Amino acid sequence: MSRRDLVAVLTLVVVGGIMVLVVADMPAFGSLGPQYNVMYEKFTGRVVQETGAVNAVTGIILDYRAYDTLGETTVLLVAIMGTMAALGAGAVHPAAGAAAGRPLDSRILALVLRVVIPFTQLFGLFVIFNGHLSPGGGFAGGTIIGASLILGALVSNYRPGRRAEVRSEIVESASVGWYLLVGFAGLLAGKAFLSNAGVFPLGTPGMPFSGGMILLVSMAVGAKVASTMQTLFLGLVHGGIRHEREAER
Amino acid sequence: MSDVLSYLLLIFMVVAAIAVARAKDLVSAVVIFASYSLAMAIMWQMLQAPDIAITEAAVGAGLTSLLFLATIARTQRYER
Repeated sequence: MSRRDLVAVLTLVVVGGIMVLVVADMPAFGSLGPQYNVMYEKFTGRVVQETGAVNAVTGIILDYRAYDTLGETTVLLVAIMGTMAALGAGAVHPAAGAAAGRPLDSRILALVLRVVIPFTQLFGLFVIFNGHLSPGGGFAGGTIIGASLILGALVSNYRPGRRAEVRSEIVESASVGWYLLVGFAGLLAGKAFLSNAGVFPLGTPGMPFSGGMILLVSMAVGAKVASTMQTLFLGLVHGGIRHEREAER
Repeated sequence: MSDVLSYLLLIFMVVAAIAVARAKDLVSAVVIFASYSLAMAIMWQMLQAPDIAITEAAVGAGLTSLLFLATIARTQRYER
């Protein structure tokens, strides 16, 4: 064992030992009741009347914490910009691209997916538009729709080109803009940025159109996540790097 | 009963996590990682966090696998 290995093992033992000590010092799982949590009462008691959302989780992340969610959406935008710049997306070599964009040569897969994709997308839309009533919301629903779009790109006769990428980019920027617009509506009404109650009608909790801003913001997050996934996948499959490398060979 | 199931799931997740790191074939690593995410999604559901369970199932088991596979298709399948 070399000296470097010894240092690594020692560090591991010390750090691991500290972690085990900390975990051993924690209260047993579930032993602390909700009476120890200050936020518990606020979230369970008042979330429905303050946000109009029956699903408290969505009420918190898209109303109380809507500003954080805006930050997360922006993180997605910045991340995709960096990835696309690194992958050289959009710089598709026309001759080399034909091979890379060939759809999967499987009739079974194509047939099954043709049936499955519409239902997947419908379920994704349900998860987005029902986020204030049942588990789910913009992020989960957007991921489901993004997966269906990727499956569609796998079996369709998609030719690498700028069209799908550009459409995806427009959706991506527009969804963040839409989120900001919804936030500015609060300022126009004389309230805080991204405030819900008092700006948007909250409706009757439990009804499809309730929760005011939550539906609008959920739409933005869903569109953003779905288009991010599609752009990432198309960029990975059709981006410029591979074609440059193939041209060198 | 649900205690036994959660211990089984937790042990499975630890084993799967080690297997992902040790797999030389990256495609099988992706498949093991997807199964890890599935166990995690069931775990979230058992902890009464259905919102997270849906997201874990959609992101972990579905999307990251697709993105990893696309990355492997562009790089190489076997770890050196």
